[in-house]
Amino acid sequence: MIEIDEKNLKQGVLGLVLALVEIIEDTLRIQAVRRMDSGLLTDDEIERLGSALLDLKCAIEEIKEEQGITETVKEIREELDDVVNDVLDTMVNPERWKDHQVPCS
Amino acid sequence: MQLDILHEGGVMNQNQREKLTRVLQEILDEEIESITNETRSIMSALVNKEGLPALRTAISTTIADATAGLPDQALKSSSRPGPLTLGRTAQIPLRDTIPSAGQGVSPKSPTPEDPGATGLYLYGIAAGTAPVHYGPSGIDGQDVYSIHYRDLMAIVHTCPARPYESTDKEVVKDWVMDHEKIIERVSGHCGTVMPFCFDTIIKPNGTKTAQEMLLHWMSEEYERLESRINKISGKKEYGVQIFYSPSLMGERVASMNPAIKNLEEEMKHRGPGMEYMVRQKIEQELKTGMESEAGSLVHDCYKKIKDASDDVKIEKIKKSAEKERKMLMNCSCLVSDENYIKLGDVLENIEKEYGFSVRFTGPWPVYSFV
Repeated sequence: MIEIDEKNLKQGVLGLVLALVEIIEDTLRIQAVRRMDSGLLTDDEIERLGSALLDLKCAIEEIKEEQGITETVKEIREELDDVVNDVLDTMVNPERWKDHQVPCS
Repeated sequence: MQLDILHEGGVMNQNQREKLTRVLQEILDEEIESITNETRSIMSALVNKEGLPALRTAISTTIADATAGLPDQALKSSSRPGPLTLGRTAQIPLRDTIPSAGQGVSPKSPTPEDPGATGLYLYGIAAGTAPVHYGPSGIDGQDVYSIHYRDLMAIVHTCPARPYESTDKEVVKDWVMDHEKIIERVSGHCGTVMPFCFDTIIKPNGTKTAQEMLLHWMSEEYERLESRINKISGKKEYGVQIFYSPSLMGERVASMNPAIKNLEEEMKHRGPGMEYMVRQKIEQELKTGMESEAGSLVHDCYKKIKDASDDVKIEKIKKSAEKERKMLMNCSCLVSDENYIKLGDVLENIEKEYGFSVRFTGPWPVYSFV
């Protein structure tokens, strides 16, 4: 029987949620810079877009700080990065494909 | 959600934003709390029944996958026993199905699946005709000797035809160390050895004993083995790792890129939102700039190292925990004795010219080039 620490579980779930929110935030930010570069936004719009993103970032930081999950979120994101890196590394290096062959049964 | 409000034309003040943040936080907390309470029993049952075994399988598969390509490193590092390459057996054609007796061991009427069948543990292949007998110095004190085919010899010990496996890390570490010691001994004694990975075991098959299988394989692969041994003859393997400081490189890239300077000018005297957006843009520019800078530096270094080595193999970049010391390049170099000094000079120059720190390790057995 494995004991499940409720606090741990909450940290894990919250950490995962925040990690995902951060990734969404990253995507929004990249999109926002792209829109700014496109020249279609007025200075006023850029200012508002920027401050909204800044607020979102501050809110995420605050939640992480309050819940004491800054480290957890960082770890989750690094793990996700590693998974993606590994997959990409294998995809772009055909010589590594043989290492991943699944034995036929 | 704040973006939606923005699109509808509403602008929140600082107070409203803080309130929203607080409310969102409370909702999230409550939701998680109530979900946890409601489903605690279901979750613990599920985790125990489904999650843990699946997780265990997933972890072991991931680790096995990640290390499948790196048996060499596992052997090189004495602190890393590389238990995950366990079970690797030589790819020697196994066709017949008739039971066979093991070489040098009393026949116990083994079948191919019989765990009592006798195999040969292969340390490496070396050139030479004089028989080698190292006595009980192999893995677990096994008797190490040579099996000859023409002018090549396989360094082996007799063992059960199944992989060495243990859940005890220390035990595996000792095995790998024993393997390594034999490779070093052969290397000192014969000059050149083509090392095999830890846990390479030749199985008997059908009417053929493990020794016959080995000789058959050596005769079939003779030319390839011979040319590999010639290629590595008189050469040693060295590890080269180059590290850079991201902040120094960032400064250099920023100073070389006029666009970044312009953006920094533009950022001044603007509202916080605009400043944030421009800062993002600078960071993106910097990132792209550093990536292309690192790419061209790797290219330069690779060319210089390649010129001073007999062969170079690029290895995976390893993540470093130190913020100011990131790995730029990781490679294994096959180097002859006369090139050794040259490579040392080249690396010293790289250190001076680019301000990198270079780690130069070895000599190792030539695992990366066989």
